[in-house]
Amino acid sequence: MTETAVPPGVGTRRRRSLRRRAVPPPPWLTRLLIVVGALGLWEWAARTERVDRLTVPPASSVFAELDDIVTSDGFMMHVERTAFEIFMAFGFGLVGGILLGVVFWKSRAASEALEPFLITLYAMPTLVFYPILLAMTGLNAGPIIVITVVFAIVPVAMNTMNALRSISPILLHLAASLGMSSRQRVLKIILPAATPIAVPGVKLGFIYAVVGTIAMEFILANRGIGYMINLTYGNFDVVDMFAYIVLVIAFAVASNSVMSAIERKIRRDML
Amino acid sequence: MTAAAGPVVERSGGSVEVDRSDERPRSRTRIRRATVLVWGIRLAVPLLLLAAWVVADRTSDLVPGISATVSSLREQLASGELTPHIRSTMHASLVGFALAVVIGAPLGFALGRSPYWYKVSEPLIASGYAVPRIIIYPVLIGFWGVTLRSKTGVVAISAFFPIVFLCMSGARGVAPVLVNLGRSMSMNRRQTVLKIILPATAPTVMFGLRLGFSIGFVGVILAEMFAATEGLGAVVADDYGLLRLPQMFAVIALIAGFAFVVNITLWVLRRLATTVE
Repeated sequence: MTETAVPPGVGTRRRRSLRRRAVPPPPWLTRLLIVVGALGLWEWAARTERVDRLTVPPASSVFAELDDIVTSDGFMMHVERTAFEIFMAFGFGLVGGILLGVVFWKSRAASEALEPFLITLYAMPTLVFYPILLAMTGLNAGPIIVITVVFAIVPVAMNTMNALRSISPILLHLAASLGMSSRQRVLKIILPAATPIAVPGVKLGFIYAVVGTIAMEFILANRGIGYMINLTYGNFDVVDMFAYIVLVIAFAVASNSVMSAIERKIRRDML
Repeated sequence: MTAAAGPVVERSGGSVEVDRSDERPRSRTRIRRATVLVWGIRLAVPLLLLAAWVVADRTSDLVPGISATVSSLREQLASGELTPHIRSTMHASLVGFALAVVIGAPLGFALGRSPYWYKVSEPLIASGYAVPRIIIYPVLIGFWGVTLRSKTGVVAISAFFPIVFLCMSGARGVAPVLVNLGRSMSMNRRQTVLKIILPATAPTVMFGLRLGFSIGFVGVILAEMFAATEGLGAVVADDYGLLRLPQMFAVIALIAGFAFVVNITLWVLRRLATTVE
C-alpha cells in the first residue's frame, strides 16, 4: 500500500511492518458483515429455539418459502396492484409537487400563507383519513392512491420551491441580457440550476409513496403485497408472513438505493 | 414575478433560505396588502375544506354532516368513553418516543462524529428510513401479544430511524472551525460536547425529534387500526367495521386536530425563537 522511497542500506523492512497502523476494512465490507451477522443471529436464534419457532421461523425456511411464493400463481397479481398504486401515487405526486413548487416560487403570498399547512401535512397522520375515503369509495386502489399522493406531494413541492429560489439571479439576468426565449430559459438555465437541489425531494416523494402504499394495504385492502402480510398474519401463516415482510424490506431498500444512486449521479454531474 | 433576490443561505437543519438584505425596502402599504393576502389565503384553506365536506355530505350517504360529527365528538368526550383509549395511545406514543430518543440520539451523535462509522452506517439507516416499519408490528405481536408493549415497540422502531439519521447529519455537519475553536481554548471533552457540539447541532436535532414524534404517532395509530384492544386507532377501526360513521369521523377529526395543534404550536414557537434571536 504505502510505498515510501527508502534510502538503500537501511533496514526498513522490519520497521515498515511494525509502523503500519491497523487499517479498518472498507465501509461496504463492514456493512456487509453487519447484515450477514444479523441474518446469522436470526438463523441461530430460531434454530436453537432461543426464540420460539412459531414466533420467528429460521431465516433459511423464510427464504425457501419466499422462493415458492415468488413463483406461485397469485403473486404477480399482488405485485401489479402494489406497483400500480406506488407509481400512480408517485406520478401524480411528482407532477403536482412540481406544479405546486413553481406556484410557490412565483407567488410569495402563496408560499408564506400555505407554509404552516404544508408543515402540518408533513407531520399529520394523513393516513388517518384512509377510513373516510374507504367508507366513501369502497375497497379499491383509489383511496390508497389519493392519500399517498397528498403524502408525497409535500416533499416534492417544498424542494422544488427551494430549488427554484436558489437559482442565482445573475443567471436570470444573463438569460434576459442574451434575449433568451422563455423555452430556452427554462431548458438551459432553470432546469440545470434547479434539478440537483430538487432531486432529494423527488427521492423523498418516492419513499413516501412506497411507505404510504404498503402501510395502507397492510391496514385494509383487498390486494397487494402489504395486504398479503395482513392475510398471512390472520391465517397464522408465520413463515409466509415473514417472507412477505422480507420482500417489502428488500424492495424498499433496493428502490431507495437506486434512487440514491441516481441522486448522487445527478448531483455530481450537475451541481 | 419574484425570483430569489439574493444569495441563498443554507441554514443548518437543511433548510434553504434566501438572503433578502439587498432588496428594495417595501412600502408600508405594500406590506399591509401582502399580509392581508397571506391571511386571506390561510383562512380560505380551512373554509374550502369545510365546503368540500358539506358537498360530500350532500352527495354521499356514507358521509355524516358537520353538525352530526361535532355533536358525536362532544358526546364521546363528555361520556368519558374515549379516555382509556386516549390514555393508551398517548402512553404508547410518549414512551415509544422516549425510548427512541434515549437510544437513537446518542447513537446518532456517535455515528455522526466518527467519519468511518458514518460511512458504514449511513446507507443502513437511510434504508431503514425507507422501509414501512409498521410491518414489523405482527412480529412484535408474536413476542408480546396484542398489548401496549407491542404498540410502544412500533412507535420506538418507527421514530428511531429519523432520530438517528438527523442526529447523525447534525453531528457530522458541525463546522470544524468551531471544534478547532474549542481546542484552541483547551476545552476538555465534556466542555466541547456541551458548549460547542450540542448547540451547533440543536436545530437539526430538534427537527429530528419533531419528525420522530410525528412518525411515531402515525405508527401507533396505524398499529391500533391493524390490531389493538384499545386506543384511538382501534376506536376508528371498530367504528368503521360497525359503520358508526359519525363516531368514526369524530375520532378521526380528534386525531388530526391533535396533530395539527401540536405542530402549529411548535411552528409558532420556532418562529418566535428565531425572530427573537
